[in-house]
Amino acid sequence: MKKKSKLKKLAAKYVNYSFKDGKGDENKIMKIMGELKSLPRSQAIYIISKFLKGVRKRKDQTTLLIESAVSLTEAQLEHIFKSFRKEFVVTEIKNIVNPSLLGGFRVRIGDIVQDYSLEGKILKLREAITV
Amino acid sequence: MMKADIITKIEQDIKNLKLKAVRQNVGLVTEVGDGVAKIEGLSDVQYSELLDFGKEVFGLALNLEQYSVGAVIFGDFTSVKEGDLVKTTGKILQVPVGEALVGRVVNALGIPIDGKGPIKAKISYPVEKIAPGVITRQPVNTPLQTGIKAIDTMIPIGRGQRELIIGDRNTGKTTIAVDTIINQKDVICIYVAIGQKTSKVAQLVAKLEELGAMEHTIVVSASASDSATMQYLAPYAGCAMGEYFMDQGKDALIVYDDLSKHAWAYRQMSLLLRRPSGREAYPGDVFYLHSRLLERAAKLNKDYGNGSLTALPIIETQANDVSAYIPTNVISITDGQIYLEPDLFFAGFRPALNVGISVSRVGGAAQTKAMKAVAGKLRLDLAQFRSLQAFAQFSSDLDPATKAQIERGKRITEILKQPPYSPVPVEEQVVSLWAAINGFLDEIEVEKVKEFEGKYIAYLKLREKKLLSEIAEKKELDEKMIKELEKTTKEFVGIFKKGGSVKGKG
Repeated sequence: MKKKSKLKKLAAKYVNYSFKDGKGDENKIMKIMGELKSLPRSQAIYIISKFLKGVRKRKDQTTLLIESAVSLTEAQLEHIFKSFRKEFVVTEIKNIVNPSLLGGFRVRIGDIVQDYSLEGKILKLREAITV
Repeated sequence: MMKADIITKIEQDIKNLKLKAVRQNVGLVTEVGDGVAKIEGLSDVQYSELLDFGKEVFGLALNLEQYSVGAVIFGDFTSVKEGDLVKTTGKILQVPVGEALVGRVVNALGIPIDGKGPIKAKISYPVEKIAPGVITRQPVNTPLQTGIKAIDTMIPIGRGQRELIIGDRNTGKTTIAVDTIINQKDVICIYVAIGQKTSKVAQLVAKLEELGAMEHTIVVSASASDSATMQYLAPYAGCAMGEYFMDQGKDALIVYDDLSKHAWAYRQMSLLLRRPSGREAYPGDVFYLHSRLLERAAKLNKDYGNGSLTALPIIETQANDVSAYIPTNVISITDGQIYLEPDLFFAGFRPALNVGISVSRVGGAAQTKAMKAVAGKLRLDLAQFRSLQAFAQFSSDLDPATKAQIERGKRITEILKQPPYSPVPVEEQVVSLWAAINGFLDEIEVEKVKEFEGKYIAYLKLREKKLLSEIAEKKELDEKMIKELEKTTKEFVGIFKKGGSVKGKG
């Protein structure tokens, strides 16, 4: 149990080391992976899974995921990016087309979601009129 | 509700609706099973916050870890799938409270389950609340009459007290609690059924309705078929409902039936949430589980409205073992316990109270003077009777004084027997016990004591109604009353012995 918590802490330390200003350093990550692989197998599996989870989580926190009902133009994406740039560190922008939104778009960065979609508005309306 | 009203309400709701995009904290379900979900994300979630799983399924955040959150799901968890989006709501779990709930049967979330339509409660209280502090409280000083002679005299319960009812299965624990509910007039009662058979709850509600006690009672039911989460929440929800009345300056009584099953439900939840387990596989905070619940029972002082919440938790023991983990925990939290024994129950002593082990640590201060006048001697007489009875088993030749003491003890024991669902008013308790401890029953055969008591009370009601109401009002027995009582009792003993009928004054 003690060993596991030590490995967990080490993984968190490596994650911090791999990122600078919210941006991941690929070389550093590959180097760390190589080092971790040299550990005894049971420890390596555990720490690598924790490390990758941490890296993914950290990357999500700086990735602006824009879900929209139709594909957005570069200018539109840039406009959205500009409004979010003030509050969040954004290193990557992704656009996913999701027709189930019906209209508008939904922005997600890390654990934060801001919903401008028609689907979200309809759901809100349903909640409001349900007794 | 009329059609037009519904349309107006919907129009109003739409008018007030704000469709502006709001920033929300979300997470993704990574694991789900047995009513428990693991969610990744939700970085801003609070402990005990309500989570929205969509499709009208809600959950409660309980385990906050570095990257994930462990949550329990209310209701149907089969619709929750891996990868589902979960939103925080910014709300701590609340239940509706207020007068509108009185007379209703609700589940742990305050949703009615009695088919009598929706509850129009205007106020909600958080399910988890910190118990009232020292400044807001005052010592227990008002009695809460259970209507059970053995309890009201020897193990008195005060308003704001926490008195544990403990015993094996089928020893009459629920009956004591129900009798107490039936006996209340100005006290709002809340009965919380945890992990019980639905049929038993239905039976109990029918009984309360039959006896007119449902008019001042709320039943919170989380039966055996409900999820462990609902069973875990039910006592806290019931307590919140009781706290509302306490805050209004009223007196409330809450029965938790029973806390052993509550601990089982919490153990199940904790094991599924992978919390480390301790003794008997209960999690480490099982003591706090019950202590924070029972601490919420209180008697508030004048500045805070003088309200009270009395708690009657019930614990079911296995094979009379009061030294098991949960019983010892709850015994140490409460202000005394009523211990019920199967041996006494099957010997016909009902309520099967073991007076030796049962105690009330604070209730004595709340006893009325009239009750105190009889209770002191009664306890002494019974204690002597018990020690002599054990001694008498070994010798047949007893001196007259010992014999007399044993005979009186037998009569007192007989008087203390009481059938279920028939609580006795205080004044009647006082007079019948007064007659027993003062030797008026010594000449009556033990088998006829119950008959004597019934007729004696009827005789007093007929001839000395004023005296009875005076005892009830003044709550004491002064010399004048005692003289009058002596005269009437002697008169009645004579009539009873002759087998005569009772006639009213004038």
